[in-house]
Amino acid sequence: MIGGQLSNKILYNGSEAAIKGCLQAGATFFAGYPITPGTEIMEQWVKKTSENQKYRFIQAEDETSAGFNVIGAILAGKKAFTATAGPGNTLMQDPISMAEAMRLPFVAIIMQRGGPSTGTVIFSQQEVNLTCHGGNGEGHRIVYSTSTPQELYNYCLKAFDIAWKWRFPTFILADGYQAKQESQVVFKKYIPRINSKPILKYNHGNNNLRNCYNFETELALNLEKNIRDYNLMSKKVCEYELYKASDASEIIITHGITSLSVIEAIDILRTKFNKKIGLFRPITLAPFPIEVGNKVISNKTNIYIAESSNGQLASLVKSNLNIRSTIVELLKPAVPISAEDIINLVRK
Amino acid sequence: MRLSSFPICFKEITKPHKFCPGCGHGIVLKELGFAVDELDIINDTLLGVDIGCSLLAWDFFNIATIQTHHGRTIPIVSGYKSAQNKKICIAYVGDGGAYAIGLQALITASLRNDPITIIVVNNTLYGMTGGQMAPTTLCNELTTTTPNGKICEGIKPILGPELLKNTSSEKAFIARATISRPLEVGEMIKKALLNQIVNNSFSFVEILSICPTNWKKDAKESFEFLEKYMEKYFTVGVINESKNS
Amino acid sequence: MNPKTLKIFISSEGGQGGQLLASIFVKAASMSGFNVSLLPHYGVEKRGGISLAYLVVSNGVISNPRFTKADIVVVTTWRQIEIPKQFIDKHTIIINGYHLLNILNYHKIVGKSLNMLILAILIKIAKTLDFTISQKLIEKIITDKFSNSASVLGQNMSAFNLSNEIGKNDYSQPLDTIKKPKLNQIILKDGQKQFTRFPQMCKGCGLCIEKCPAGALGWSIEKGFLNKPIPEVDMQKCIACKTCENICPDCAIKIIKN
Repeated sequence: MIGGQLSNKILYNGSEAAIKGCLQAGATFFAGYPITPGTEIMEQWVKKTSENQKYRFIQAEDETSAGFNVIGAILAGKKAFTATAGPGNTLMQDPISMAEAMRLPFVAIIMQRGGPSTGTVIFSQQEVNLTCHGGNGEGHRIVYSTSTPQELYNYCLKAFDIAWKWRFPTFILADGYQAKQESQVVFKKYIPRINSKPILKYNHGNNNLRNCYNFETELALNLEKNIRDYNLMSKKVCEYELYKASDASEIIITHGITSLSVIEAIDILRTKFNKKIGLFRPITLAPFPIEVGNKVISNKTNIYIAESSNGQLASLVKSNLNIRSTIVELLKPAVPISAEDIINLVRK
Repeated sequence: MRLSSFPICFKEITKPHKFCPGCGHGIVLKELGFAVDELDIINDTLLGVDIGCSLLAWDFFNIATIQTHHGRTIPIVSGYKSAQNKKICIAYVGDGGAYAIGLQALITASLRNDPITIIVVNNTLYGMTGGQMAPTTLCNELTTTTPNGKICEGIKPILGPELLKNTSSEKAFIARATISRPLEVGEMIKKALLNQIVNNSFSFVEILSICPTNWKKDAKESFEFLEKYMEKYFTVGVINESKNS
Repeated sequence: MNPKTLKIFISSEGGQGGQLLASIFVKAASMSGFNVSLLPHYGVEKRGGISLAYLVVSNGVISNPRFTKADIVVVTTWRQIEIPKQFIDKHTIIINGYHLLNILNYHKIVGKSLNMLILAILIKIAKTLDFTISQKLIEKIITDKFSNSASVLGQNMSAFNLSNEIGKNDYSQPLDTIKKPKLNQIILKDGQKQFTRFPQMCKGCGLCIEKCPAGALGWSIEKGFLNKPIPEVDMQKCIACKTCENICPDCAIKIIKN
């Protein structure tokens, strides 16, 4: 790109890019509640859809109700979603657990912020546990961890087809930096592959729905089916990114926006310090890319895990992969990790 | 440095405070400070705040203050009062925290006649998050989630004090004031606090306030909106005079 | 050829227009053909307190919206000065808002539109670093943005053009001149009353001017907390009714009747 030539490049922030993806994916219903840094998603939805009767919007009285509003719309057959963050994510777990129990295609965009409690309003990677496992009992979810406004667009575009095909609550896990960052985003043509249809029927079939059971064995049978379906789906849906990993002797594992700093660091470590080092980045935290992960980490001297949390990614990695090598963790709860941090970590 | 214009209970080191230029919170908190000075209760008061703009009052006074989750200020204050009933307990919240996410807790506190004082600063929208609609947003009002004006047909902006009149004991003191008359704000706050201190009953004051930043109005336009629209719909005055007083 | 990247960090007070300055700059840079990234950052929540922004302009791919050291740091608030200091190393150019206000202290408008003046200076500095962004383009963006109000547009364009009165040596100034100002008071007395103003509390909101029943208050050229003009009083017109003192959200006025 040479400076001086006028261009039509328009800047989008992550929230705008996300809404564009959701609209192209066929979403027609949004319910939410103001909470930084997820509020702009709601505002963008209103801005883009308020003139058109086909789209529905509810600003709920709180996040819990917003989640149940979304469930109502899904039962009625609409591609529906919400967006929240931090304490709102905590409140959202109540409706999400109903969506888990009843295998509803609930889609939510989570803009991570520091916690626990009110915490900070802009950034962390501390909502991994909550977003992957925040409900009671044994639920299953699909969670994409994005790193840029471009990826927010890409994965919002994909989330609804994924959710409606496989019927697991599907999340786009980002953070306030991505939500607010303005950059040039490339949009593409997209035709949704799955059409939504009413889940609650009227005259026949699925016209009596509940999420409670009389006996433990009934629940157990239902859960076993969900687990089977989840395992069947996992290999097809899991996504990852590898950067200069093929000839690497050391691997850094990270997710989300931290991967940008790691990529920057890897380039410097390779050219300036002759380190043969690469990145394994799970894009789906759930289902975790186990097969590729195990292949990449085998026979490596050191495995580094870097995250802006106190080990939420590290726990996922260690429980999913068979790591035989030395593990070195860079855990910086609530604070972003820079390329310099990674370089210092590896050089020590 | 203590300025001669400050209430005694002000924490000087946090001034100038973080509220926007022209924000009504500054006026309400000043009057609350003078009321606390006058009643001489600085060491006996608990102040609870929410996470909207009221959050910025967390270090405003030399008064025991607790900031909590959105809409949960009232339950915390009720719980504290139940455990420490000699303290004067105040919940200081916005219209979002009081009438949306916290509405259930507000009504419950009034049904139980919890002897706490609730101050609601009403600017008809969610200020801290950038100006979204609230339960108090008026007909045709522009907010970021009502960019074409809030729908009038069939939708009612909430009348909090009037609602609470129907859920409160006759011992409750319920009133509405406006920052266009600051001294009256102070009077209502004092009466509310006295209802807790003397009558051991529920007290509630909604204060109509301005938000030049999110309304995108200057001083003149802000007062116009407050006095010509808000004060017309939200009646200023005592809504429920406590039967004890 | 290695891509060239320009990193700018802006640290301002909520209400000084730091975010607007940032978004106009990156918009113009983007329209001039550069890759850009803008990351706004706030304090506790979106309203109230410090307002920060990371700007990255590059003729190559931008991998990270954040950075640890900046090429240019803009500071217009004394609060939380440790934050912009972290981004400064020996080659960083520091635009010190207080220094600019000192040089131009005879201009009333510059306090209200300091961000536009800084925008103009940023473009000049960017050009010396081989990032040419068209001045005409920026003027067009400003004109479109403030098309609703001729007076606000005029004020902003005046501030923008004031950059011509600043010499290159004044673009970059060290931060040690930025300290929390001492609290002072301006006292006027006459036979009837004593009228005290506390400039460091005043945010220039104008509620007092609006409410004064005697028309005794107007804008002065003195600066308050946000570097905005504060009101001044005509003691002859003032009837000491204390309406201004009561309506002031910041306790910036105190009247004592004799």
